[in-house]
Amino acid sequence: MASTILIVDDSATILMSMEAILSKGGFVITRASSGEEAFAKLQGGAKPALIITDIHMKQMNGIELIKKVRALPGFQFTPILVVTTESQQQKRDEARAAKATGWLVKPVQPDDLMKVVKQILPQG
Amino acid sequence: MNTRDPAGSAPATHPATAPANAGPARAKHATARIAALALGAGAAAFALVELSAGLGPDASAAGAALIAAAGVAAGYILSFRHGPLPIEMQARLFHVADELAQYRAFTQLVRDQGQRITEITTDAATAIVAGLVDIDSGLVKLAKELDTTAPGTDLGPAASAARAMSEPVVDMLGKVQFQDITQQQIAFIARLSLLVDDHMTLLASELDGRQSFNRAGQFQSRFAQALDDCVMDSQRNDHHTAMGLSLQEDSRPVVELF
Repeated sequence: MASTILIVDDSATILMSMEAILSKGGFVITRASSGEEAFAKLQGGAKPALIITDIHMKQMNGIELIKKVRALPGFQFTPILVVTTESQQQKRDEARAAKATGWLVKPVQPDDLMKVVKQILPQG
Repeated sequence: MNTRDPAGSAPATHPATAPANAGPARAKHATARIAALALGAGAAAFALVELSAGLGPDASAAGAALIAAAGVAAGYILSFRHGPLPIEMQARLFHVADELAQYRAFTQLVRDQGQRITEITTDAATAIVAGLVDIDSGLVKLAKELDTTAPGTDLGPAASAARAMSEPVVDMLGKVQFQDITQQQIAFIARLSLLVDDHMTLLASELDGRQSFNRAGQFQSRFAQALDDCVMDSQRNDHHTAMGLSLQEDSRPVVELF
């Protein structure tokens, strides 16, 4: 059975682009256009095998989302990838401290994205 | 989209009528001068009364004149406390304040154009992605159908060609991410223009109420704060360059697993 990936980004272009790329890799995609929407889906019972999130979003940013997800029962070990324009070391350190799994800088090459995702979800 | 009133709250005064539209500073000027005149007049009246009463005219007159002079001097000094600028200079300052307010209409226009670009490119990018997805799924379906067509018909090369045509599609789907980068660049520009707006508003209000000793602060310090608004290294590098620094952000891996 194909693994589900939750993609969180306030850019419609990024959501569509990453969904198209990852779908070709055989994954089932769920989208959220804000941190709040993503968190609500998780609280509502969604159980993705991987979460991919942007950092700079209005209201709840990606770092805050990661911290809240980690505090949810059953999500302490769910892999969370950050995909962002941001490259600052301080932000990376914040994400790492919040227990993110990895960091990718936009624009993400489809090959790089697929390679990292398949590394995290080898079963597909 | 930013909805702030570009005209702001700076006074829209004409130089020729500026003196008539006196603010609090000018009212205090008038009060001080009236008080000085009243004091001087009172002292002069006292001197006249003393002289007519015959109580040592020389001493009394001298004393009255001294009091009158002190009154006028006090009034004169009081009027200077609120600024000795001639009417022309005040008019110019009001004019500058008015012009600063007008610049905000310009920065609003710039922000609106940025918003328009973001909307157009979002529509185009999402349409491109949708189109690419359709093309890709069409080619995959074609390749499958060619693979399963009646045996004996060599359509292998055609099926391979269909698969080969869908390969660049994935790369193009990645390239469409440019729109998100562009959108964030435009949003950063909009934030910079708002920073300029705020500073011009403060400067305009300072020119209007020249008694205020609150400093609007140097624009350079505000611009330094804009560094916190940067969301990518290229913006920080541009900021360093604009500040005259030869500092560049360290390069870091684009893919990192923690």
